[in-house]
Amino acid sequence: MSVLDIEELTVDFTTNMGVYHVLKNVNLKVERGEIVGLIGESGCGKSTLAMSVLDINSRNRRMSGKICFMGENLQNLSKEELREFRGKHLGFIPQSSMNALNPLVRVKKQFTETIKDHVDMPEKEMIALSNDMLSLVSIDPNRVDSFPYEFSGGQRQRLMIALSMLLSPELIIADEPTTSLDAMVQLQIVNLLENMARQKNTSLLVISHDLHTISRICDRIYIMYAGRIMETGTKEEILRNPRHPYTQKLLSSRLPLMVEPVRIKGIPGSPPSSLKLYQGCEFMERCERRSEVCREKKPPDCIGNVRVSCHLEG
Amino acid sequence: MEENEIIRVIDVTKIFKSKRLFKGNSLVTALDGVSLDVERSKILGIIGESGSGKTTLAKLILGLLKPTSGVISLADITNVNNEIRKPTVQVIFQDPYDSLSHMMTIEEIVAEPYLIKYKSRYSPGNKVRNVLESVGLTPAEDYLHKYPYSLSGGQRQRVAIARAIITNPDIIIADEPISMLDASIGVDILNLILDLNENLGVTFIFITHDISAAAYICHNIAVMHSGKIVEYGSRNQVLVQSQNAYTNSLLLAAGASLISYENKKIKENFNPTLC
Repeated sequence: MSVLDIEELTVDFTTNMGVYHVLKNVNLKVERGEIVGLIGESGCGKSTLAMSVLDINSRNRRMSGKICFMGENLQNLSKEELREFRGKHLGFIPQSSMNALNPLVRVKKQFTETIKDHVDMPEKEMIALSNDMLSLVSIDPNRVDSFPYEFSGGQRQRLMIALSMLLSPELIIADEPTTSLDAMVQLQIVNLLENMARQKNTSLLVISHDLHTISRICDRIYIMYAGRIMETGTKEEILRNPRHPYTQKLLSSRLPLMVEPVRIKGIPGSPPSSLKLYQGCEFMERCERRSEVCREKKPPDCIGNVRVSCHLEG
Repeated sequence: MEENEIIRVIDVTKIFKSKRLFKGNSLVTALDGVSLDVERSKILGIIGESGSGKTTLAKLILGLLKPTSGVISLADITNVNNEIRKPTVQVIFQDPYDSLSHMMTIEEIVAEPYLIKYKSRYSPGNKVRNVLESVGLTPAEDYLHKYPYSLSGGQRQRVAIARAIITNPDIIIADEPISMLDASIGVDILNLILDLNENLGVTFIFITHDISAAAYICHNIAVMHSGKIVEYGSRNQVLVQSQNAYTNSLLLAAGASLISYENKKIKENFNPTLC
């Protein structure tokens, strides 16, 4: 049984600007103990996916499809049950988590409050558990009485990781865990996430726009563009043998570190508006290999044996 | 000052006083005896991790801060009429979402430095159009009357670059211009900087924590660590022949990209988990 099984998830938001079609028929699976990467550029809907799983973006939202967690359909749960679920079984490391800690509350209280909300535990054990977690992310447990501002960006990110793993959830969703950190700290955080997840056999869904930083810890990768999964496969398949033109472009826009400088190209054009529904392929406008069929027919969704959502690659 | 130099930073130290409630004052040494020569019409990369003093150095060169000790001198520039003047400096900030006013149209934003410099009261319409097209915002008419909120991150950064080049500066300081952008868009911004450098001969000071971005565009690289310049040289001296432990750890942090790197020394040190 998969830890997380998303089937044909479609999410729209109604605003006074019109209806935004953010996710379109997304199928995604996370198995037990697996680290899965969801890669896509700004505005492609990757954070919406995370928030829809956690059900924390229900305003103006219209959702269809199925989100199953450990075999249970999350949509059948009441708001109260879902609240118990989050934190205990489903951890979340939000985007810009540097600012996700309450600035007015000491770190110790932020940890113990999280435990108190979900399980009955004597005060002493709570503190012992928080201290254990802190030493796992190499933060001195003596600093639990500090306020968040006394920690650096990387340390705050590690605090968030410790906080999300406090109750040993089955799945952790990390939304852009390395963005806005510098290259050295990024490496530390990625390695820490991997070690923690492998040690506790926790499944991890890592969301990022940075294919290269994240891919080194992923078992499987989903590539998302304009709300649709464009390609999926194991890390080796995606990195060595990318088949979707978008994945290929994404990989080749990585800056090469070569002895002699070489010029490379980005992807011309800009992502399509999510206000519009496209009859054909969303990537068509920016694709060099497009043909008539791309304009007229939607490519197959990535599900089951279909790895690539592209007419030209079967 | 030598012919090919445009900025010379001599033994500059910057100390900040931080006032903390109940705890008295403390001193933070952001720059500690930094000396640096910036070559004319070249791209100088300043790399280092957060808090190493990169941005403080940029602000000192811009004149936004005064050094505690030391001197920053600018070379004289002789223009076509044989007039001697000091070089002009412009800046591109890190975050294109914060650095553009929400209340101004793109035309007003780009024209503003021009109006201030030439003490003009009228927007130089043609000039703004030309500049916008030279940074790849074509056709310019589509953008002139838009507000920043309707542009994407990459487009905003292009507007910020257009604003920097409209006064034809001799030096542009780019403070982490691509760290907020997606990879496919960041590459285009870097290519734009390369084009401006090659075609207009603008000197760039490019500040970044990403060594692969520096490797991509810079002619010279200075590596900073805790307020000091630990290594300074040409691109290849720093990237290929570096003996400095800190530079090498920055190279390791760039991780996955080193696979394509032909240098044997680095390959042996690094065991890529990828591929």
